[in-house]
Amino acid sequence: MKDAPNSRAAVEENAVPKAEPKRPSLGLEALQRRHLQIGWWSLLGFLLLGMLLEALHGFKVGGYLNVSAAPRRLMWTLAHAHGTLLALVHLGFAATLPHLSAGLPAARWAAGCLMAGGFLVPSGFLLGGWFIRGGDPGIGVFLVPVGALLLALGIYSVARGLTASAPAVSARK
Amino acid sequence: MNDAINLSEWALFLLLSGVAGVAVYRRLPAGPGFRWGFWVLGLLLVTGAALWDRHLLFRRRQQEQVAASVPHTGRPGGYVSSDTCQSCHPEPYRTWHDSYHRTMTQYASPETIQADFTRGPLLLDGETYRIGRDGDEFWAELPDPEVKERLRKQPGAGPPPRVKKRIGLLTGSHHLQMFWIPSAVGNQQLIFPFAWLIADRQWVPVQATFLRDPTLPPSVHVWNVNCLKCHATGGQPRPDFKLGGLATRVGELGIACEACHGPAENHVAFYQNPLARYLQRASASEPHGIINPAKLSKDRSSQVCGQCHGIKWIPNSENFAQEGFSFRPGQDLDQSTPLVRPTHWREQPFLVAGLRQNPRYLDEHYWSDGMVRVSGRDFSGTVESPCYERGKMSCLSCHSMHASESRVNQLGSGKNSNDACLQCHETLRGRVEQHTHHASGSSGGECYNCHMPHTTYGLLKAIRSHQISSPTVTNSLATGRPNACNLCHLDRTLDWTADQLQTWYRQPKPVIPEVHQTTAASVVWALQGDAGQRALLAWHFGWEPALAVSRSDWVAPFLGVLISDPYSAVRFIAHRSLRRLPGLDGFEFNFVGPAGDRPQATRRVQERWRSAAALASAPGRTNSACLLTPSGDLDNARLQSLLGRRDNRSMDLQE
Repeated sequence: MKDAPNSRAAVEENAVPKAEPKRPSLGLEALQRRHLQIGWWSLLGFLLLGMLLEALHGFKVGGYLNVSAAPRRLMWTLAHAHGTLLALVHLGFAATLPHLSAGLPAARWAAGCLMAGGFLVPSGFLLGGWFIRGGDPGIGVFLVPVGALLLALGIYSVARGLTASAPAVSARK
Repeated sequence: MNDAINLSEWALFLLLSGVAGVAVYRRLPAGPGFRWGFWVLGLLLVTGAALWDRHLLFRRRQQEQVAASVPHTGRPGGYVSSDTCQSCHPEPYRTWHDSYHRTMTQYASPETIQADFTRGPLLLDGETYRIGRDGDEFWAELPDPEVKERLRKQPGAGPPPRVKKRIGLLTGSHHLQMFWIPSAVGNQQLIFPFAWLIADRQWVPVQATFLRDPTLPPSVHVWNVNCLKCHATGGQPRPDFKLGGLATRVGELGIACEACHGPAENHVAFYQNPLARYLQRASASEPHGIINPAKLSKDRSSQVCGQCHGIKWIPNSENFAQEGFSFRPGQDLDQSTPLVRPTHWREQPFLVAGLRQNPRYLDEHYWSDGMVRVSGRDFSGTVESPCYERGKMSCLSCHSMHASESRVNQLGSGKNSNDACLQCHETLRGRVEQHTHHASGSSGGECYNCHMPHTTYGLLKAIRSHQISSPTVTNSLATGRPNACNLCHLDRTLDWTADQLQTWYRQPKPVIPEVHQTTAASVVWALQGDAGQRALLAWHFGWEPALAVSRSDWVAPFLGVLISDPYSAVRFIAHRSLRRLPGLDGFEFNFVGPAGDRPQATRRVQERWRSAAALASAPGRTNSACLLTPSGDLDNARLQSLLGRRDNRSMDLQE
C-alpha cells in the first residue's frame, strides 16, 4: 500500500474530475464545514421538532394524539427520529471526510447523496404525516424510499472510499 | 365528493423532490448511466406518488359514499367520541376496545364481518338472496326491501324489482351478526333478512333467531329506530319529513366511552391544559366534566348500565325521535325514561295506558309475577332484587368494565365465584355448605346457581336471571318459571323439590298438581310449557352441571321432540343441546329446514338413543318421572299425553 499523501494539495491532485462542474467545486475543508453546518443546524431543527411534538403531547392536541391521528403521530415521530439520526450522520461524515481514500469527486458524490437523502427521509415523513387520509399517509411518504436509496448510495460511497486500495485522502497535516 | 388533486400537498412534494434532485444532480458522477438512473428514479417517484394519490382519492370516494348512506357520526351536544380518550386513558381505552360493547354496531369491512359472503345463494320464502364480496365491499342482491314492504300491503301486486345493495353496517360480534343495507332515501338502515350464526358458521333467516310465533307476520327491523337505542352512543333517529326518510346521527357507533362517562367535550378541553392535569393528579376532587360510574351512588351507578340494560318507558316528553335520549350518566334515569316495573304498576300510570295500546307488552318481556324474562335487560331484574332494594348491591358489585376477567360476562376479578355474594353476606362465609346443603365446590354450592338461575331468554340461549331470588315451588306453579332446583335436578319432580325446600328451608309445601308428583318438572315444562319455557328447558338439557347431576342418558328423546318444535329458536337450542349428548355429537339437523323433515328428525333421535347399547344397559335408566318404562324405553303414551297439553299461546319475546 502506498503511503497516504499528507497535504490538502495531494488530495486535490488525486481528485480527477471527469465532468467539469459548472460552479467552482468545494474543497475538502469547505465540504467538511458544510456538513458540520448541516449536521448541527439539522440537530437543532430536529431538536426543536421534538420539542414541538412534546408540546403537542403536553397540550393533548387532538390532531396529533387522537386515535384517528395515529398515522400522523407515527410519521412525525419517525421524521423526528430519522432527522436527528441523519444530523448525526452528517457530523460523522464530516469527521470521516479526511480519511476517504477515493478522492474528492467520490466524496462530493457521497456528500450529495447524504444531503439529499438526509433531507428527503425526514421531509417525506413530515409531509406524509401532514396530509394523512384515513389510516394512510399522504404522497409525501414516497419521498422516504427515494431518500433511503440515496442514503444507501452515499453510505456505500463512504464505506467504499474508506476501504478502497486507492491512496488515502486526508486533510490532516 | 372531492376528486380534486390536493395542490398544496403536490406543490410541497414537488418542491422537496426538486431541492433534493438538484443537490444530487449537481454531484452526479460522470457517465450517462448515472444521469439515466437519476431521471428514471425521478420518474418512478412522481409516478408512484400519482398512483398512490389516485388510490387514496378512490378510497375516499368510496368512504364518502358509504358515509352518506349510514348514520352520521359526530352529533352535537358535547360528544367527542372515543377518538379523543386514548391519549390520556390508554388502559381503559384498551379494555373498552377489547369489549363486545364497542362492536355492538360496526361499519361493514373485512375486519368486522365474520360471515362467509362466498356462500349462497340464500333462499327464503321462495325468494333468492345473493351475497358477495368485491374487494373490501360486501354486497347483497335481493328483492328491493322497501318496494317489497309496500307491495305486501297490495294483494295481487307483482314481485318487487331486484336491487344490489352494499352492506353498510353490522350489529353483533359475539353470538351472531346481522347486516344492514341502506334505504334509497336518507340513511335509514334496513335489515338484510339473513343473519350469520358465528359459532355454527351458518346463514339463517333473521326471523329464525328470535323466539317469535312463526305464524306472526315478519317483524320490521330498522336500525335507526330499534338498534340505535342501545347499539350506538348518543343516537338521534331524526326523521326528516322533507326528505321523506331519516337523517340519523350518533355520537359514535357501538357503546363507547361517552355512553357511561357522559359527553366529554368539556372534560377534554379542560384537561388539554397540562397544568390542569397535574393539579388534578394531586387533588382528591372529582375530575372536571366527566362522570365515573364507580364513584356514583349505587342507584345512579346502576342506572348508567340500566339506560340500556333495562326495559324503559319512553314518554312523549322525551322527544326521542329528534333528540335521542335525554338521560346522561349521573342523572336519575327515572326522571327521563323510567324503568317499566310491573310490580309497581300502581305507581306507573303510563304502564296502564301503554297496555291499552299493546296488551301483549308484559307477556313479551316479563314472567307473570313481573320478573323480566328477556336478555339484555338485567337491570330490570336487579332493581327488583332484595340485595339492591335493601342492600348495597349495584351492577359494579360484580361487573367491571375495565378490569374484568372475561369479555363475555365482564365479571370483575374473583366475582365469578361465591365471593361475589360473600362480600356482603359475610356471615355465610365458612358455612356455605350448611346453607346450601350441597358440597362445597359442587354446582349446587355456588350461590348464583340457586339465586340466579338461567330463567332469562335471549340470543338463542338461557341467561342468568339478574333478579336475585330464592327457589320456591309456589312461584314455579304460579308463574311457570322453572326454579333453580329443577333446572339442575332435571330428573326430579316438583313434589320432590317442595319436600327438599320444606325440610331445608322450612318453606311451606304448596298443593302439588298430580302431573308434578309423577313427572320430572323439566319434562313437564319441556313438553307442556310455552315456547319460552321450552327454550329454557332445551338449553338446560345440554347444560353440563345439570347433566352431571341428573345423568344425560334419558334426555335425548325430549330434545328429539323439541327439535320438531314450531318455534325455530327452540329447535335451534334443542339441536345444540342434542349434539352435546354422548353418541349424538354429530347429529345433523337443519333447524330452518322444511317442516316436513322434522318428524323424521325426531324419529332419528329416538332410534339413535335406543340403539346406543352402552346407554341402554346403563343402570338407573328406568326413572318413571322421566317417562321411562321399567325396561328403560320411552313411555310414548305419557309423552304424547303431555305434549297434547302443550301451552300453544302465541309468543314473541322482545329480547
